[in-house]
This record gives sequence, structure tokens and C-alpha cells, in this order.
Amino acid sequence: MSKVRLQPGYAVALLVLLTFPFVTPSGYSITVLTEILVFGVFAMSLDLILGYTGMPSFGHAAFFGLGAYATAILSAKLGVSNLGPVLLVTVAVCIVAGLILGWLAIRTAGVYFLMLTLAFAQMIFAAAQKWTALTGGSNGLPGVRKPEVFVPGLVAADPKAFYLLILGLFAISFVFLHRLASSPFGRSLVGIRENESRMRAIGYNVRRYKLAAFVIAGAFGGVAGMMYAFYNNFVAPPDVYWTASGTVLLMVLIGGAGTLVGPVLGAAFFLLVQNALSSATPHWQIVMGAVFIIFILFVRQGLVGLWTQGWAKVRHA
Amino acid sequence: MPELLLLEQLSKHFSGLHVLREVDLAVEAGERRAIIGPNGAGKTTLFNLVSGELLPSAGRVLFDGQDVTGKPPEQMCALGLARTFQKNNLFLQLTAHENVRLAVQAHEGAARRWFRPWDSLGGVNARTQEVLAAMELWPRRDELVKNLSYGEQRQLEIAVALAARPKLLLLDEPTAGMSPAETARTVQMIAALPRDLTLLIIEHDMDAIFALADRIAVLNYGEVLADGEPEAVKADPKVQEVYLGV
Repeated sequence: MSKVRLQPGYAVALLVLLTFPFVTPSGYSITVLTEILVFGVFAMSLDLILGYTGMPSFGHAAFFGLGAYATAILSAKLGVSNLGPVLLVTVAVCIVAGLILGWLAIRTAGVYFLMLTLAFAQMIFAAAQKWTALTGGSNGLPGVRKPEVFVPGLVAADPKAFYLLILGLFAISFVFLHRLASSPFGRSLVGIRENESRMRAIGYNVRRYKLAAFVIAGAFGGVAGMMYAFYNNFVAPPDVYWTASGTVLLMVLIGGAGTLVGPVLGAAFFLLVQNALSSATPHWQIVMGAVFIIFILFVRQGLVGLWTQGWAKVRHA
Repeated sequence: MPELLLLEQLSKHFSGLHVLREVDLAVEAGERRAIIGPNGAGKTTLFNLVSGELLPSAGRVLFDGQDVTGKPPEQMCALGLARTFQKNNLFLQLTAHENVRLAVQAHEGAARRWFRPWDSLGGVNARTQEVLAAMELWPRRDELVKNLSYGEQRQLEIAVALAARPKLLLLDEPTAGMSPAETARTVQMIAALPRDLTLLIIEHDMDAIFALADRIAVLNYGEVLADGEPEAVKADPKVQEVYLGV
């Protein structure tokens, strides 16, 4: 049996991503790649509960929004410029929110779980809209500044430096979630997805595992939100709206749920297609919709599934 | 010998339909007890009450000297009770190895290891191999369960249940749907289980029952009709009337 290890392919990918800003002449492509990495973390975090544990959250933007707003309030309103405290507060806020929502939501499954998570996210959205003193209401919160990277004065202001910061956060998130998914704990989540009743019969306290997965997913969703606030320098209610939860769900499904790498590819695919289409036609959302329908109907395993099936064909040819 | 499992006046009704009526049953440690009875006699319901899948309407379940009435399945498993299911209840998209390993790692407390690769825990792997080998599935370990034959899936049912080192194993029709040859092999495998493992077996195959059971309890319409040594139960005119059909 093959050992579970970070494959050499990942090291190559990291090397390519590291050198990318120094070989590309285009500042725009650095910005796009930065955004892909931000949403890559967001999609991976959802994959832990959706793909691995089989919990279809339709409110994952709640955590993204909480992280983004926590960051914006700290940075723009309170003048906290260092990444360290912002990261700590973001993760703490999302863990608390994850425990509260998770404690309620894991008692349900399927469409009820979906509706509960959606309702929670819409509550966060309403708070972002109405609690103007804290959130700026529908005008949002501008003025989020690029953070100091732990060392005072070391500000990731330049796009290349900021890209490297985001890449670092992405890489840490990926390694963390990959190890988690490959651990006995991660395999237990897959067992819950496959057959919850048997998991209970062989001794698993299924709710505890679900709650743990939900909270971890929420924390990383929040980290993605923090990365986004720093990237965009601006946070507004649409970042928490249900369409944001839908977008990340599509990224996971397009890329291939339960694979971690897939959702990152899904995020890349989504953002690149969106960029290309929206500059070509104002009706780009119609084309995008058709693309999703094709994926949901014919490419159930997502981009990763296409790749592994294609690779198997090549090997057997 | 002390009783490992004691059922006291155990009853279950579903909206007025009495499936089990005041069942008393005592199973001693190390015993192999068969439960037989016509379809609908309440045998699987009895298992579901003991293993925590269902809540009893009345009565008590005592396991290993402790009142465990109404405890959920995961706690019953932790206390040393494991079961198989009449209809295969496995992880179809995972390999045979992983099906057993999930059960092993829960029991060894390894499921809470978050940062070790799943295949790096030597104790878990060794136990997984032992259990798969006992059920003659080790050569098939890397096969996805959905690709195993029906008979192999039945054997895996038992392997998954055995993984947690239970004191009491409930086998719900272990040979159901098997060919005569498969049945004979499965009966041999069950017979070869350690003698200190207490077995409670629901079974319809009479040869299997007489090969395995020390005692037999007969259930009919939710009531215990007879309970005793195989020969005595076989000779009981009431049993012959309702069940053996002679």
C-alpha cells in the first residue's frame, strides 16, 4: 500500500507559484493569482465539511464574512496593522461562531442542515447591512490596509510581497488541511459521509466529529475572509450574501469535492472563466450558468475526476 | 458463570403494534446462543434494542452487570458490544481494509489522531490484518467493498464488528443469502472465533444453528416460546408446531 505523503507534485506546484511573480511581466496576473489563492483557501475549508464529511453547507460565506469584517474592523477602525493579532482574533471569532452554529446544525442533515447554515449566514449578512456603526452598513468598510507581517514595519505593501504573503498563508492552510484529511480523524469523517449509522455502531460519537470538522472549516473560512479583506482593501455585505456561499459551493463541485486540490482548481477555473467572460460579454452569467449545468450533469467528479480518469486511460492505452 | 447479557421484561411496540412482549433472556459469558423464530417474530428488533439502535418501550437491558437501557450504539460499542446487520451495512466506496481499519482505530482511540498519516499507526494496521485474515479477506483488502462478492461482503460485516474486540457479538443472519458452500465456510469461520467471545446469533439455517449454538431461544410473535439446549428445543412440541414445521 502506498504511504500517505505530500507528493512531489505539490512541491513542484509550490515552486512554480513561488517564482511566478518574478517571471511574469504582468501585474494583473499576479492580482488574479492572489485572488485565486484566497478563494482556494475558502473552497478547501468548505471541502472539509462538504466533500469529506458530507455536510452540505449553504452558508459558508458566514465565516468568510466574519473573518473579513473582523479584519476590516481591526485594520480600518481600530488601526491594528499587524497580521498576528488580526489572525488570532479572526480565528477566535470563527471558532466561537462555528461552535454555536455547529452545535445547532449538526443535529440536522441534508436539506435541513443546508437551510440552517443558510439562515445563519443571512443573519450575519443582515448584521453587516444594519449594524452601520460597526460595519459601515451597505457602504461597506473601506480603508483596510495591507498588514505588517508579524515584524513591525515589515508591511506587505508591494503586490509581489503581498502575493507571497497570501501564498504562504495558502500553503500553510493546504498542508494543515491535507494532513488533517489524511489522518485517522480525516478518514473517520469520510466514514461518516459514507455510512453514519455504521460509524455509530463501531463506536464513533458522530456528532463530536461533525462538530470538530465544522469548527475547523469555519476557522479556515474565516482565514480566507481575512486574506480577502487584505487583498481587496474593502469589505461589503455582498461578501457575506448567500450568493457568496453559492459561489464557493460551485468552486468545490467544479473542482471535485473531497480532494482538497480539486476545490483550489475549481476556484481557479471559476475566477479565470469569470474574468474572461465578463470582459467579453455583459451576459457572461448566462454562459457561466451553462458551464455549471454541464459540470453538475456530466462531470460529477469535477476537474480532478477528469484528470484521474484521463490519466487512467492513458496508462491503460 | 455470571450473565453477560440480561434482558428483563423487554418490550417494544411501534404505534400499537407489539413487536416484543416482556422478553426475559439471560446469556452467560462465553456462551453461543442462537435466536430463532419465524419472520416477524421480533428477532432483529431485539438486536436493535440491545445494541442501542432503538429505544425499548419498557424493560431493562443489563450488560456486563450494568444497566445500559437506552444507551446509544457508540457507547454500547465502547462497552464491548458489537453487531452485524441483516442487510449489509458497510462503507461501499472504501476498501475492505479501510472498513475494518475505521472500526479498529475507533476502538484503539486512534481516530482522534489528527496529524499522523492514517497508515502510519502500526498497532492499528496489525489488528486490521489480523481481523481481515480471520475472515479470509486479507487477499481482498485493497478491493472497494462495492466490488466484493455478496458473500465476501457478509464476511466483512463480521470482520468490521470483530475489530472492536467485543465481549459480546450479535450476528444478524450471518449466512443470509449465501450459497450452501459459502454458508459452510462462514459457519466454520464463526466456529473458529475465540471461545471467550460471547455470541448471540439470529439464523435461519438449521445446520448452521446446530453447528454453532450451545443454547437456542425461540421467539414467536414477540414472546420467548422456548429456551434451552438444542436437543431439548428441537424436541419441544410447541417449537415443532410453530417453527420447525414437523
